[in-house]
Amino acid sequence: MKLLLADDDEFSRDMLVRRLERQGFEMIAAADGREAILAARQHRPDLIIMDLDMPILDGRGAMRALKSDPHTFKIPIIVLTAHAEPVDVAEAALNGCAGYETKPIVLRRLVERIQTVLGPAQE
Amino acid sequence: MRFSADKLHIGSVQPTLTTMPLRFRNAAVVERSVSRPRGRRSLSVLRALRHSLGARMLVGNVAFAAVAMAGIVAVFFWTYNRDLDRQLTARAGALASLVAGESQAAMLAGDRAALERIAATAVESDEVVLVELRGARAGEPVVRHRDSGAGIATTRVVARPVTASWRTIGTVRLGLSTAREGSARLHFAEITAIAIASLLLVAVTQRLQIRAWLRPLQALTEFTHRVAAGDLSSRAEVVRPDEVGRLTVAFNAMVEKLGATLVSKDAAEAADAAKSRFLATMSHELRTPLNAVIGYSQLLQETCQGSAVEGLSRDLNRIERAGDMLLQIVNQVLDFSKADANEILLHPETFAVDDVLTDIVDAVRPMAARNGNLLSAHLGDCDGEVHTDLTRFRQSLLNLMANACKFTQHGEVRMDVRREPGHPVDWLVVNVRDTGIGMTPEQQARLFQTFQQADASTTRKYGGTGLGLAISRKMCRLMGGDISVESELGKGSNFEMRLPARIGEQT
Repeated sequence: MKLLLADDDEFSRDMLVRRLERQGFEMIAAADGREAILAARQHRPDLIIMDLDMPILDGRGAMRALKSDPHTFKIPIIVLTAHAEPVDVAEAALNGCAGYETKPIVLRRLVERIQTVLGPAQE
Repeated sequence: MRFSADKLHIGSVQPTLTTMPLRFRNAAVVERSVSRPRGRRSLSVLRALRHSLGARMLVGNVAFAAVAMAGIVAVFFWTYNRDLDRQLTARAGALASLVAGESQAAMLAGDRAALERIAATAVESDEVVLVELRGARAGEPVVRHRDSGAGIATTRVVARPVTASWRTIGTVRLGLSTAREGSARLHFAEITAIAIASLLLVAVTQRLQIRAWLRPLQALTEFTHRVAAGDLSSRAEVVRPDEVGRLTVAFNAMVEKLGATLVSKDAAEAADAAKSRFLATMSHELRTPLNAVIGYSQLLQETCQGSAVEGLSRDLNRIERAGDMLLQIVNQVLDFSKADANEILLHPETFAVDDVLTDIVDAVRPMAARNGNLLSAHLGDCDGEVHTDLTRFRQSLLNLMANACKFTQHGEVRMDVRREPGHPVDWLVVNVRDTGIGMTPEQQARLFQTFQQADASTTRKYGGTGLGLAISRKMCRLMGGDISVESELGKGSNFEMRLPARIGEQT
């Protein structure tokens, strides 16, 4: 399983990449929205985990771009929000996201969500 | 104006007079009694006097001038008339005495021809219109009229005895014309006309003068309306340094002060908003590294799972727990600053109350157990749905429950929920009672204030930001409800949260 993680904070990115690699996922990291789009086109990940607040191009812009690209629009996206704001949650749902997770990440929950999203595709 | 409006109104609702409130019925009675034309005219004058200072001054001044002028004219007429009368009497007396003297000899002699001559001469003189000489020895009286005086209406008649050696030998009667007095009296009319004319002049000049005096007052009134409409930048012009001028100066000072107060209020609000924004930004910035701290401690715990290093896993767990606590505090500060800046938007949704309440009780169960508390929930007749902001509702109630568990040792924490019928919506009332440390009235008064726990020592002993209750109350008030407390020191507390069971969408 190949996952793309887009998060501008180096520590969060590194920490999550390593923890998810331990769970057996193949990880690709991106530091901003533009990198995320390029990486998604190049590597065609099975799922994208996207932080909303990022420089250059934020998560919302990146999601719009990914969802309007015929090569990437099928890739499910899980949104990371700093604080579970009802606005963010509603927006995530509107943008066709597969789900959202709040920071701090509870790894067990995140992995469960990833498996739920990817589950049908695997079978 | 008001009355005519009343009249219209009353006229249109008259058929339903019996159903009108008493006050209106009275108004109708009053209206009927003044609806005659004369009454209405006098009423309009009275209304002008009541509503216009200018009219009152004008009427007052002109009335005063009229009374004064009428007095002067009356005194003048009276003395002038009296003097004319005296002069006439004196002239008539003198003439009569003269004629009497002339007639003496003729009367003694009984010379009728001489008497007739005297009479003819006398009647020729200026004012005399009638001469009558009656002599005891002269037979029939000698009478002469001036016949040309057709227009002479009034005469003054005087009589003088003719004496000789202290005996009356005859009488002289003279009739004097009062034509001269009459023409003099014509001046009265002229003088009266002049008086009335000057009175009119007084009225006109007074009216102009009063209008000039009152103009600044009118300008001030218009200015006041502008200020009331929110224009605090302009100032009223001081026309003259009189009473109105002083009033204008005082008024300008007041407007200036008002403007300054508003400006400082705006500045305070701006500073407050800046503070809230700063808190929001800060707490957001704090969360990013904190997430890394928590994340890496979890990563390390996963790494050393099953490792032989003594106590490492436990210590890492402590780092993680401390990080979680810090994160909760930061989140509270963010919540509070948002609530304070009124940046919280409600997202009402419909949910089943008992499910949420069960969740909350489950969430605080470990806390209650840690302090050895008995936890019970009594969900009375609250089954059914509530339409409000679930997140804020859960947050507020969770905070109340967590507080109760935190400040109670080996006691009881009990939650009672009921639905209270109300208008226009029902109320959801949640009571959280504990048998904990309780509070004094002074502590209760401070309780909902920002960063306040019951007192500073409580903070040291129990920890926490002291923001929880302030936030909970803010949230409840945002949702149209409130939180109140009853407490007794050492016995426990009873927090009551009341929320409308249904709130509208926020726009």
